[in-house]
Amino acid sequence: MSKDQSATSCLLLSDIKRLCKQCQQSEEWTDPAMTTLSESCCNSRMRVCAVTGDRQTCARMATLGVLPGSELELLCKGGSQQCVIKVNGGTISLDAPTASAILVAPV
Amino acid sequence: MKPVLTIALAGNPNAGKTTLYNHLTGARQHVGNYPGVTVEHKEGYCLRRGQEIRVVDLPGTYSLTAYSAEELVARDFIINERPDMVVNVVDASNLERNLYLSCQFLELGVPLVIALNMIDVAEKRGVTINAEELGDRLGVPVIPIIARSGKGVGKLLDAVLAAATADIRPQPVFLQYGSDIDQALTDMTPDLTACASLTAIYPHRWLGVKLLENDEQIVHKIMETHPEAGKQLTARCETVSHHLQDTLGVYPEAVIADHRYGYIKSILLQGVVTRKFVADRLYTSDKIDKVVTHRILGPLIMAGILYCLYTFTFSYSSLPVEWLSKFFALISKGVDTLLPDGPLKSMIISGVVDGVGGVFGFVPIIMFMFFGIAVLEDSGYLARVAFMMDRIFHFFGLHGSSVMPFIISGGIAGGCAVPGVMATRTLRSPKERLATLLTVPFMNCGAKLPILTLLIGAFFSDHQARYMFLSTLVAWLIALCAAKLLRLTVLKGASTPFVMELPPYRFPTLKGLLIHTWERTWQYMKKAGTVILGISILVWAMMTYPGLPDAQVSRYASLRQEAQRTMAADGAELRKALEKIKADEAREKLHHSIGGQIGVALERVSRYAGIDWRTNIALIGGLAAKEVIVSTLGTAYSLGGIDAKENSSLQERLNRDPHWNPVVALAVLAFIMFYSPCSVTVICIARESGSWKWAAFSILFNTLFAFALAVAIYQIGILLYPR
Repeated sequence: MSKDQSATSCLLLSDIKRLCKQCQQSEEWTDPAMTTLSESCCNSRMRVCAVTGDRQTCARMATLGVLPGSELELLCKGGSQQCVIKVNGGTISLDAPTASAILVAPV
Repeated sequence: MKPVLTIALAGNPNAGKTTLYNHLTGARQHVGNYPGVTVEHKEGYCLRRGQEIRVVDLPGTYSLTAYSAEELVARDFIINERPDMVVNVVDASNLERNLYLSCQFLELGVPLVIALNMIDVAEKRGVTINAEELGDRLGVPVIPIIARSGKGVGKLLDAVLAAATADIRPQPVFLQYGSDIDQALTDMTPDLTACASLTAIYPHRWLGVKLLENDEQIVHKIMETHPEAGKQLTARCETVSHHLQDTLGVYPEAVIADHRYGYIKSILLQGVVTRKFVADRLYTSDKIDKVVTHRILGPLIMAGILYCLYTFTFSYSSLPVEWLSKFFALISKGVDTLLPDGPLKSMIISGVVDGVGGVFGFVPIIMFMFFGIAVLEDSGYLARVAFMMDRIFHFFGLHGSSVMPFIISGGIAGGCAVPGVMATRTLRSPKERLATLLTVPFMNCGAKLPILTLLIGAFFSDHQARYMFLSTLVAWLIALCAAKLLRLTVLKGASTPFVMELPPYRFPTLKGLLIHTWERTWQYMKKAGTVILGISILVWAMMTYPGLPDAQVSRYASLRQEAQRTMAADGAELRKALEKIKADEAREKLHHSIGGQIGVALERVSRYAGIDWRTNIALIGGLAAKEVIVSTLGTAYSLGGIDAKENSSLQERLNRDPHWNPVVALAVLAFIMFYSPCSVTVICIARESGSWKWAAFSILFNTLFAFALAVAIYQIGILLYPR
């Protein structure tokens, strides 16, 4: 069995370093293309730019595959900006504060 | 070969672990709690090729980091109990997410077999998985199964037996997490090696990864056992964390998760998975969700489904409830005929049969309710209800999943707090769960309905329906406000983010439904049925002893003789006079009993809420079961044993009684609605919260709150409407 297979497989975070971190540093954070998940439109594919909020929430979201660089689809929204998203083949529901902590940009 | 082989079933929530567990163990199951937590511990046995296998169903988890009680329990079991084999149940239709946990088992180096479940669903979605190739790439056996039908389960058990007898302890898999993390892990090695007591249990690198992931349990253990090395290690972790936040804007756990997902993707892309359709296309389940969780249609559909659940439970269970009540009446009659008059007969009839009968009378309702909930749960709809209700419940410091316990407890009048308290098991956050189980008894359960009907019928008969509806609304409002109060005071803490995976809609299996219904009903019968017996006998003794003094007994005997002598000619009048004597004797006996004396003593306080000693006795009886209130009130108001259904005469009596008026009725109503939960509910609260402290809190908090409310209503009432 090959033990070090992940070495060449994961470049997503370096993409994010280019896509998002530079935006922040160059004060382009208010890029109109980038919104919080709770403000986004349904039925569209998006790339996660950043997950803000406390450390545990970020870790929980990362476990579910919602981490900078990953792609997701916003299926529908409930009242008060709750969201149902599809990521890594699974359907996840998020409350409004969590959905507001996820910054996304259209793919 | 060991006499008994232990296997642990682990996997993501909704991966089909419990279905596999039910298939393997059938009825041979034991359900309990893990010590100190309310996470369910299920274990059962099965036999394969003469080998007895102990199967432990671990709680569903997404990771092995201590983010929740479930994850901690699953990890501790695997590490401390060292099962002979971990069977990782993986949902083949959602492979990427599910393999994330498998990846962590590989890093931990536990003996592992992967059960690739729901392979049929994956195929229907156009996903073909080469299980052999996947097994080769991961270095562990991967067996495709369909747990619902049992297909492939035999092969899975054979693979488990083969791997267990191979007697080779697998080595932890070495994953790379990028230069920053890998360098940090290398730097941490000397300090990790110094933590000898921990490295004897956990692999070196795994410990390092958990420290970088800020795993509270591991950090605490290291600081406790090796404080010096611990300080060095946490300082190193903080440096890496700051560096990653500065450069990438993420915490180390995100980088680690990213590399794990990268590792999984790299394996899946190497000929393991072939897809007919575009990945992540919308399936039927997603299309249903677009309607079912719609912001307008969703709540309407939910209301309809809940109404159906309620109708199903309370209309279909009424017949078995009636049969059970007839059965217990028959036993009472039998005992009445067989035994001679005396304290033993009275205790068996009033204490044992009535008490146990009262508890078992709930069994059909509980069974039907849990069957309905099992249908909603197993079909995947319950998760959607929680999602839709989260917004409102969140405001009151509760969780979306709190809605079901509230509805079951009487959210639509007529439920029962016992299954409601037990249904809080679906809640994961301990504080929100506690706030829910302490406030669900405020709902109008079925046992409160007769007394509500009685008092509203007696004093507000012109607007009966309106008042009944109002009482339900008030119950909701008070319960939610009480929850908010608890969350702001004794159960203070941040709300848990509502992040929940919505399982795809599935047809539940009948076997699964029956097992779920039975295990919950049996728990109720076993736990509540034994303790209620003792309480019921205690209440009976309180209302029976001490009996009337001999002088009083002979006075009533002579009164009877007098009546028989003077009214012998008029049969109807004699019967009436004898009934009056009997009722007077019963009232005096009650006044003289311990219960009566307590009632009189309590009147000193309760009179501020307009509650007299006779009502106090009924309220004390209501501590055992709320159904008792009407019958005790009947006895206390000199009517002898009044049936809850035949309360019209009691209604008239209360209406005519000079002590009672609409203000008193309203105060008593408020007190009954919100005071201490019944004994069965209290026992359930103690069991579910894991502490009698919370059960005692629930009795005190609810009673004090109800009393304050009743006093306020009474005092304001007599000011506005003086007699």
